[in-house]
Amino acid sequence: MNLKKVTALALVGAMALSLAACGSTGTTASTAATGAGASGSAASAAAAATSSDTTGTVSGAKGANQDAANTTATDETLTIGLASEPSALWGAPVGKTENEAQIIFSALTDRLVKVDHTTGEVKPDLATSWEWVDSKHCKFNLRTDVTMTDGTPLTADDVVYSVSVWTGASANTDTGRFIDAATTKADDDHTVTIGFNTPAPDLLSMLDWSNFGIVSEDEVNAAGGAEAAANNPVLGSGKYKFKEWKRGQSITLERNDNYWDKDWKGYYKTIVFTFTSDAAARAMAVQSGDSQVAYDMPVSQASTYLASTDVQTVMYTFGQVGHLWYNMSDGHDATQNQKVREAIDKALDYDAIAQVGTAGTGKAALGYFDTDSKYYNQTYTEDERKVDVEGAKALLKEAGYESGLELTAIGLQDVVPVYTVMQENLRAVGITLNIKTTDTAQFVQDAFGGNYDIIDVGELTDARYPTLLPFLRSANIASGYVIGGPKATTDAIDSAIETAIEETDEAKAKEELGAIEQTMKEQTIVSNLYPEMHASVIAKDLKGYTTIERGFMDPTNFYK
Amino acid sequence: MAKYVIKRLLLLIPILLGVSAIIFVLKTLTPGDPARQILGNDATEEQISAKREELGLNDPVIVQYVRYVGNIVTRGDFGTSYRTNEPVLSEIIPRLWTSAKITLGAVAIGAILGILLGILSALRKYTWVDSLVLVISMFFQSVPEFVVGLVLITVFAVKLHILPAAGIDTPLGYIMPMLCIGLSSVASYTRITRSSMLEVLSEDYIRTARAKGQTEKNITYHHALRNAMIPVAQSIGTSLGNSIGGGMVLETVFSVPGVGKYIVDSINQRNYPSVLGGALVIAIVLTVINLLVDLSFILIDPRLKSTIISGGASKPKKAKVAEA
Repeated sequence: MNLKKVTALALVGAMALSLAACGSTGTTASTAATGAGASGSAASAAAAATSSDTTGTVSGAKGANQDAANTTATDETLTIGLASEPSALWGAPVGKTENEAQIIFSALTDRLVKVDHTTGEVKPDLATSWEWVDSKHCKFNLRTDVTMTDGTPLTADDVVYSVSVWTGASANTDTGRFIDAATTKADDDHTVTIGFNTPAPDLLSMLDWSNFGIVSEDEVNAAGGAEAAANNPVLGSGKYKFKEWKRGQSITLERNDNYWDKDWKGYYKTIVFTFTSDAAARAMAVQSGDSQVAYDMPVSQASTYLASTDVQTVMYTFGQVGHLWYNMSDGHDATQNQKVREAIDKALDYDAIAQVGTAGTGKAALGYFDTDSKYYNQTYTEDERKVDVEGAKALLKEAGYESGLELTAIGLQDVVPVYTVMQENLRAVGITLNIKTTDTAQFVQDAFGGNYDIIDVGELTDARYPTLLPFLRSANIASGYVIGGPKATTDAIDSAIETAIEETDEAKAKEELGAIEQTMKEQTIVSNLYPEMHASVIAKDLKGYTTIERGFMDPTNFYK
Repeated sequence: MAKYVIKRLLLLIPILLGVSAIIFVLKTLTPGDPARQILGNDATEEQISAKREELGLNDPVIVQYVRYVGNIVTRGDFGTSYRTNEPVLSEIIPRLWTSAKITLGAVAIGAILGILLGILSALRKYTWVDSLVLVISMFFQSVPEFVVGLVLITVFAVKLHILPAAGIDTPLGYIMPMLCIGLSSVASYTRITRSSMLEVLSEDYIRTARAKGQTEKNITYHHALRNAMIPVAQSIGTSLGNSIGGGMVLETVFSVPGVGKYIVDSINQRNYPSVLGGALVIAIVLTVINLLVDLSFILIDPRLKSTIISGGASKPKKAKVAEA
């Protein structure tokens, strides 16, 4: 073989490998969006500050909350790949609400109540029963057979202490700001009354969140105080106990074999959480057998594993709908103009946006709330969601923008595909959409500061938490305390939201929320996009993917 | 010699001042509020403002900078991580050791493969072997490291199940990151070794050795290789320094808790004390490694002593070969 042939062969080989490399690069590009996606969800969730989840399934994918409960305990180890390492595990005393911390801490502690994430029903956990004393106080009767990590029994004083922690360092977070420590008291050893700052019947659902885990003062002191315990949480009465944190590498939990709920069986003796920000690498770890769960995959990336026989793909809706908000504050003349907002609303291809946003699995949202929410109202018909280019152009002409206009959308990397569809839709009616993608820190700053014309932000809408519709609350807008939204509202809308949150009759609350949605539709304050999804890639023989608050994975119920 | 070492160590001062000053300037130009990052999205504007005051972020940049440098000089305090509230230095040291282990392994892999290929290439100059070696080594230099990383994970973890896909819980976890970084430097070592070998093999003393009836093997390995290794050794020293901070992407892909990943994560979190601390520690390590490398040259080739200590007024002959 002469030199020319060898060189030609080598070049062909190099070209083939380069093409393969291009494929890999593509994967990695989506991967880069993962971290952003995770942060975006966090941002959205924080902005929405609502939740629990409802579960949907995508054709071809496994859904969450579907398997029967496990009945066997083994000495096996479960390894779960998370996108990032939390800075602290117990967020309450250090005022943090990080998704990964909430997933892990949920296994260490119990809450007073738990939400059935299939039905949305609030069920007993540490509290066997409860009753509302008045609109701001709820009395809980506690179990008498619960033992904390230090071997002491759970008492009402532990709940009072936990409340003091929630409202101390966490006073600014959702964990703290709706609880009234001053009127929270132990009525006897196993009865406690919790006070709330604001009337909101669905606050009860919020107590299911892992930040509301119950700990005892003695075990916190034994761990070196609240701040120290945040990083060394040998706390609570949960299904698993904290064992070890190797910074930068892993966090290990061990099954609590003295767990009070004898009906629960933990299949895995040990759970190890590892941290890999690259989603492709997380999924590959599952394929290789190094780990069993690659949590929080970008939906588009997870969908590429649907046909795989090596792993299972879990995709599910969780009660959060993506919404496109128009900045209606001063300085944003175009989007302040209702005709322009209507024009954009008419120009968008909602089906295409939903397809892109859900990797071809979801449909356009016809209401502000998720369809599984008990407060869902269909505000739009399917016909109203069809593209109307001529109607949009006419409205722009009426608004004085017949020669076109330029708008800016901000977002994290994960919304770029959705914004790109919008960009094309708007180009057809003469609007140039500039897509400004940033990292989380800059996004948060821009979204808080209103440095955008339009913004895609999701809100969890399965319950009427006190933070419902935060984008339209005047106090939030005045203080800048909201990510995204129109940055403008009216007293009538503000007051209607408050009334709906406080309403004790659910049916009436649904009507009231429907009326608010109608106002939003008439003024084109927001365009509803699609139900957002969580996705994970898990080992092919793994069962028991259940969820906790906001659709986060529950690490305690997996089995084979 | 001692004077030279002290002089080089004193050079650390302007280097570190420069690095920290640049990062401080970048910090002021970068959007994203550290106070918001610390307190989270639920924090009110008042709380954000109070936190900024507490952290001294409202002070002029020059004041912040002088305070920071002062704390390092007087107390060895590189700051406290905004994210974990732990001293930055205590977070960096174990990570630096992890990065160092990977770097040493990577340089060893790169150097061994590169030298072997370089020798082969030189001995088979202008043949198809020479061309193939060139193509292979250039390929690994051209393909981005993270792509090689994903390919290695696919092959060795997903398909063959012989190496872990990520993490360094076991020693096996170090292999793929080392391989990735090492392979990317093979081309450089190959070219240097090849050029150096070709030059040495054309020297008079090699011709004399041949004339005296020495075997080609003896000539290659006893007479030529030792002299040809001086520029390669220089290159290895430089690679050591560069690789310490250069594995940022790969540490992310392989979930290696090294200093590179620490800095990347800190940048995303606007955790400026950690970014600054990480950059300064890397600068210190680089400077010290470069000094040690220079000193090692003197041991390898005493002829270079006057050149190095005089500050490189005249470049060593072998270094010219390396750059050819």
